[in-house]
Amino acid sequence: MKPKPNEQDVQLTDVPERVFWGDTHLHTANSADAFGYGNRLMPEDALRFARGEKVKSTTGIEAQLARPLDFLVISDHSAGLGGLNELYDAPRFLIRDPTMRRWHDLMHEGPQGSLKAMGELIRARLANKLPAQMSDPDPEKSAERLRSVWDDHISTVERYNEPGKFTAFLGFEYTLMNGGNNLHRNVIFRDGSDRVKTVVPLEEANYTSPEALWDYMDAYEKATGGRVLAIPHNGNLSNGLMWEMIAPGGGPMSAAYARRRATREPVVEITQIKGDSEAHPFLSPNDEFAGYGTEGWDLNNVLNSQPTKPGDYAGSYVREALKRGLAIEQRVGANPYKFGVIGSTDSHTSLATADENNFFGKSPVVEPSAHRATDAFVPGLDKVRMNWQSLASGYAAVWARGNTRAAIFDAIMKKEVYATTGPRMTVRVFGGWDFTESDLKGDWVHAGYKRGVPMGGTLLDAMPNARPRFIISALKDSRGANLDRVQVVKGWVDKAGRTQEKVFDVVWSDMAKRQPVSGKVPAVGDTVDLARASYRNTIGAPTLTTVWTDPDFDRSLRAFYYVRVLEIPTPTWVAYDAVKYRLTLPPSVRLKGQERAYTSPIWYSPS
Amino acid sequence: MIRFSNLRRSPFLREPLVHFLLFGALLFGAITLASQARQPVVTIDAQDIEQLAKYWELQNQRAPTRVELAALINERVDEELLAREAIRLGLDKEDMIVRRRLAQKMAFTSEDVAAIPEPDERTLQAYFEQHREGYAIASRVAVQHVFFSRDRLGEPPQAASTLALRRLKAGQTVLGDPSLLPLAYADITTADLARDYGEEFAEAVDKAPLGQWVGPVISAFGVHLIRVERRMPSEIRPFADVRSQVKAAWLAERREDENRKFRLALRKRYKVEIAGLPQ
Repeated sequence: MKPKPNEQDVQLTDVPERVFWGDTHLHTANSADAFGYGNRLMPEDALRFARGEKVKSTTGIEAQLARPLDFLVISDHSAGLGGLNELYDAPRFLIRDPTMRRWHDLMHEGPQGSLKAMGELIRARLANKLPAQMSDPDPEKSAERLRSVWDDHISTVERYNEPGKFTAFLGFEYTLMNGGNNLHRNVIFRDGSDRVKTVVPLEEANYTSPEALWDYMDAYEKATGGRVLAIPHNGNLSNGLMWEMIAPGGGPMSAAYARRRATREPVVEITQIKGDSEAHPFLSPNDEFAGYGTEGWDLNNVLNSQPTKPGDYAGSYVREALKRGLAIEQRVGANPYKFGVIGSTDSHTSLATADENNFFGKSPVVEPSAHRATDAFVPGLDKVRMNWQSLASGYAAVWARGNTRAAIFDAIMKKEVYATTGPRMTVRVFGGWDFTESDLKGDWVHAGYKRGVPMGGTLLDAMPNARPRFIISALKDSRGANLDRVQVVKGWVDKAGRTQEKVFDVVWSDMAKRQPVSGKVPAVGDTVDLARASYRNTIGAPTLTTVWTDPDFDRSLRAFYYVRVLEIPTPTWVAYDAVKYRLTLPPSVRLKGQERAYTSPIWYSPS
Repeated sequence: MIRFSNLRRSPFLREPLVHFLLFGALLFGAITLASQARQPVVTIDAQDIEQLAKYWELQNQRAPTRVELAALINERVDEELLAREAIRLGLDKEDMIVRRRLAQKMAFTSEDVAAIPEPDERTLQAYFEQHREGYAIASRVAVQHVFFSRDRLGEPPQAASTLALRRLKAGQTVLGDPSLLPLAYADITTADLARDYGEEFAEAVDKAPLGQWVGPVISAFGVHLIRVERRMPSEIRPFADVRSQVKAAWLAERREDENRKFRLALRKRYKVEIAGLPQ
């Protein structure tokens, strides 16, 4: 038998040369809610699908990615991991609790029944009214169940992890929820079975703070010598609790808390199926591209148990969080929100899809069908959000030195990562003090590392009169749409201690023709043909590269810079559905958009 | 208001019309009673009521009051009556949603019923041998390229690449445009190249002779000159490495087989007639 290559045998490049694409947030039938939505695909199916193989979806549709992913984290909910599965499999006569028996029956009816059981279960959990056996299960038995589901999971993931070719990470989702406000975290281990099997996933209790999770992570690292990180879930459904100015539960934030958070949570999820958290128009009224994928998602928290007030937005959106981080750092000396960004799907179908023309939806109840575009987000349960508001988004792009657990994990720790809403654009940025246009003629990647910092890094030691310069380059998705423009989003704390932001257009297509009008670059145009759900690359550019200098730099003020790349307008998944199923949709349904990439920031810290 | 005691004494009762009406009323009552014997029964039993109350409690976090519970029961009765009446009138017959739901329920049920036995090693080995090509490691190449960007300044990419190709063939070095993607790969599949550059580029790499500069090759980004340094051929992975994939594929095939058989059996049990097709 030829052994699989070990991680150590994989040749790493001296600097990251390629982007590796993955999903850090995917649920299989082992997640209680995914199972509840009818998902019957197990981790093995999820891994095969991510590697590019053809699988059959829960609703019986053949599914395959146009291009495989390079890595995958199956992040099943730790709470009740495999628990519903067990209820589903249990002999009916052994289930004494009438509610549990009812759920068992419903789940055997198929996806719709499962969904109903799920809705009741979520509400029961929210109201602290779970059947005694579920809310306070026999601890020995439930530990046994968790152990055996986790062991199975570990051995499946290990089988599919192929260093150098496809990385399968061990991980889980810690479902921290404060009164229906989403504070979930995806936990990712750098290590293999030998270390990870010494622990089981942490189940949340009624906490308001992620500190219990960080304690768990500390303990794991101390006991095993391994490494583990956590990625906060998209913040848009947290009602302002994801990135607060104060400590969780109230009181001033301590430097120790801030430091711990920044270390434990190096990146956040900025975009996924349940909307996009980059920027909200309420917070960024001067940014005409803010508000991508916020519609419908900015009304309530995740369980629709509490409406979102405008005052909550600041703690729910990434750009504002980055600004808050600077302000907190100025006050306490440490930045809790010094994070990079990735995109992921949070799909509950076991299928990591983020392509508009091949989108399998949030859960099996909204897998491709003629009615899913006009269904509610969770048909029969969600009365606020419509399924067409779901985004076919997003993926995590990682600049790593090779495709191994260690290389990708370390790149995430360094924040040398970015997010896209699905398309695979290549984006690279270096910040430094002395880059010039002539660097672009040579090997600017090595120059970038030598004389500057990549995305996720920090610029220090500004000489008097120096200005930060950025080498920025973006390539379109080789099979996708051309690029409209590249922007730099700058955030800073001004002399009065107030946070500020500004969006700069730094390079765009047809620059000669598209001269800025009162500071704004005119729109790129629109080639979308809704009758065919198609677009033409007759506008935009395949590559955009520039060296940009911050014109307003003040070396005494802390700041961050991140890059946003916009594609030309393309049809949304709903537009593809409309053609495929010949739908007539209400005018409020969004049928096109400008997909985008967001890089991790580069920070500037005054000495 | 006429009191009963007064009625009995009233001359009223002796009127023939009154007799007639009374008789009619009695007859009506009897018919009602008789039809009640044939009347379908809708029962809401204690367990149903408890479930209604529980469900309500889940949503509202307190037990329903007696009035609320009465309303819930009333609603439940209405729903049941409407559903029954709909079925009686055959409204379920031509309904796409009802049909889809039933078909789905049946498909799930049949899948659960048909248990597929664990395959033994010989079966899996045989399956592997039949599908060897599916377990191949793709061929890989070592390749380098010189890139001329579509949006370069100065000489257009086609012309620049033609000149550069001549130089490369003469053994000179040339400088192309900087690229975000690597200019040299030590070990990459053509599928990966297709992913990053497009099909045309991957095909050109597939066809290129070893150790020679060729081009121009067009990609989404511009024009490339390529040189393939080495080819590593495809190989079949050993069974032991792919056993679990083989098993998954075998199971999936068997399940699909079972489903097909079930559908076939149904086709035999029913006669299907389709308009416009010969019977």
